[in-house]
Amino acid sequence: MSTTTPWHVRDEVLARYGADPRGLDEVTAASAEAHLLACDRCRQRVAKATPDALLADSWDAIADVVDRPRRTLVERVLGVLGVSPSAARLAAATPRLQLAWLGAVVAVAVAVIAAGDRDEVGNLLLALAPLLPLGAVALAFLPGEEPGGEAVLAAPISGLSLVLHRSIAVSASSILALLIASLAAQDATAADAAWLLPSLALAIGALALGTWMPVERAALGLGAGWIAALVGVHLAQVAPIGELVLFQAPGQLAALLTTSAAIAIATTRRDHLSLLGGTR
Amino acid sequence: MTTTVDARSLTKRYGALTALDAVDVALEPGVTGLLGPNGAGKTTLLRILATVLAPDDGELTLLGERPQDADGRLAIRRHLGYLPQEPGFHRSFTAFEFVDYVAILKEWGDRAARHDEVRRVLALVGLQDKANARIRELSGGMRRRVGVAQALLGRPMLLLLDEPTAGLDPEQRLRFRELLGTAAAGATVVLSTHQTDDVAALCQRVLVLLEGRIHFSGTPAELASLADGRVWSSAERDPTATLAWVSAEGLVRHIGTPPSGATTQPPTVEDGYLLLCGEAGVSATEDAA
Repeated sequence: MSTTTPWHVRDEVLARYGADPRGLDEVTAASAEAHLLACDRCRQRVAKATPDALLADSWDAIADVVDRPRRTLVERVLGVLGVSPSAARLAAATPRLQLAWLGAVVAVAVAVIAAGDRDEVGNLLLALAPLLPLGAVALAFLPGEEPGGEAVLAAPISGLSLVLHRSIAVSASSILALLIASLAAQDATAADAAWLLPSLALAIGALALGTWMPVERAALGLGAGWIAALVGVHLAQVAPIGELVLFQAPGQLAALLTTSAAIAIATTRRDHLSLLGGTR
Repeated sequence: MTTTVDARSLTKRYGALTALDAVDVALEPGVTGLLGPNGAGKTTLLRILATVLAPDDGELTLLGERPQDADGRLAIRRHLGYLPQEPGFHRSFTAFEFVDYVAILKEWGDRAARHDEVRRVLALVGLQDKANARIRELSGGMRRRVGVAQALLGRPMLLLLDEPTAGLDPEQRLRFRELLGTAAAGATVVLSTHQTDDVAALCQRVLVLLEGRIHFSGTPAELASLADGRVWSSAERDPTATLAWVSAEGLVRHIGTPPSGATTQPPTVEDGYLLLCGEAGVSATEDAA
């Protein structure tokens, strides 16, 4: 825009605006800005009145907005669930993990909405919810998932800490999403969250077993074991899912003990976790 | 000067193949070139120095820390820049997003400072105008420069570059040499390359790795001097020469024991390197593994 106007901003106002626009009252600053948009001569004057450091900072701020990486849908969802932007980027950087996690969360949401009957929703969540965090852990450990390739392996946050970071961010947010979904159901009670301890037992159990075998294989085995246990106990008890021993006090205690043991094993044997093609 | 890389008897085997055979390397700050044909063990050595591959035998200390220990490895990685032979970019990332992603992994938590650093390294490799271009849209040379940019994040004390000039055109290679001269000042840089002219122009020191063993360690001038009095040219190929090839002038350049009466020529780094390869019975372009 190359125009001039019959009047111009006073030198004193322009100098103060150039030094720091916040140094002017709102009305004067707005008037100066409106004039600057239309007046080429005053824009040149304000450029001279602005300290180089302030100008450089302004350009940096603009460049930062222009360059700022776009947040994907998964990153936004993780952000809503309280995950920091950096952690969300690390968790969501792997396309397959991103797609699978988003798909699982959407599937649960759809199941909750589609199931009209409150008991059906509860049973569905109880049976399937423990598999979601387990799947997230397995996906995080799949070889070839790292978008940064080998350069990333030499970074401080890499290898095991990176996949654990992904596992925790994705499985924790899955658990939170499931918790919200189960408690959102009508007449929700604490028993509706009985899937929580089995979820933790399976997800952390996969990490513990992963100190002896590939984590994805451990997760597959545990997932199959969970379904087999569910079907077996259901056939033996002939009762609704929510009343199966797995979701009653004995089952919850067993899940708690399993979780504690898995945490101890995964922590003490963390150097044995296999990942990323076994380069370490 | 401080020894920043101290490797003793490093050995790495892949099944029956010994990729590194009791390699000793001691490096100080400065640029060291790693020359050798394909399959000589250059990438294996760089991967071990980058802490992404554990040796089967031997002792290694990097920047005063032992990479075998988890704490030592973390301390090393905080001061390490690494350009692997195949960086494996996420092709739907933009150049900025990729370098920013690596910066997050390098523990740059503060977003504004991180983005400033990303812009700095992209400008160093001349990609400031391509920051928002997707990696899949960039040429091979530009992708290589994105890889170099991520390696320069945080001004690393140990910079490991595997074939950094592969795919760069002559002008970009000159820019890279200039960049390394300034951006890596004070750092220990190890540069794996096939380009002997890069070694001559950039490196204070050169190691020649042949079939998993260090066959030469010294300055580029010392490498060139191995061929002192052993390089000559003639119109016809001399069958007694160790190596012979047609030069740009149309003459046959020879390395070996010159016949009587031949006028020897000043050797280059490439002559010294080719002579070493020839005497070791290894082709300079061999693809052994």
